[in-house]
Amino acid sequence: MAGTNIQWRHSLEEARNEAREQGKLLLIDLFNPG
Amino acid sequence: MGAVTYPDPAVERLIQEHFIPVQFNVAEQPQAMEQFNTPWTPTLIVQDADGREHRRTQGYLDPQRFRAEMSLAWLQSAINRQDFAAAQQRTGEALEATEGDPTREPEATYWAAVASYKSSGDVQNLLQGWNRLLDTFPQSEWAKRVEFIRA
Repeated sequence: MAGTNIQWRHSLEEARNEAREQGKLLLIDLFNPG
Repeated sequence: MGAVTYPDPAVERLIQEHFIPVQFNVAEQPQAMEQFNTPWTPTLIVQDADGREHRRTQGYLDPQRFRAEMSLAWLQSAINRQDFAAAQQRTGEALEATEGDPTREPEATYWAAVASYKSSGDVQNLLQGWNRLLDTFPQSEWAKRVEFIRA
């Protein structure tokens, strides 16, 4: 996304694995660009 | 959110430190609305790695409110799993991020008192925190939840 350095993931399972490995939480953002 | 909130440096740092960010464009993936049981965007959901939900918010959040919400989610997740030592460590961040927020600062104050009590076993820590809540935010929803201690 322009203007931000946040590296958004798009796979819930992969994000869960990352969160488990790193001791973090998932931040899930549902958005509508329209 | 993408134009103002996410580019904010403090927001970026907070996400980097505590969260794995996942984004669903519901125009391309409308099934995500049903999957996450929401009728509206933006919706932000905080889950742990096992899929347990710890906080949810709907509607736009500016950077200050976003940081407040996410710091509360970080605190709440530790409380929910009854890791009160971790919760106690997270209260400072939550109180700082919610300072001046008339809705969220009372909530952070409430849970900070709970974390202090449960991590120490000293009920005086709970009562001191809740009395501070009653003194500082007497009209808040969270103060109403502890009024019984003065009954």
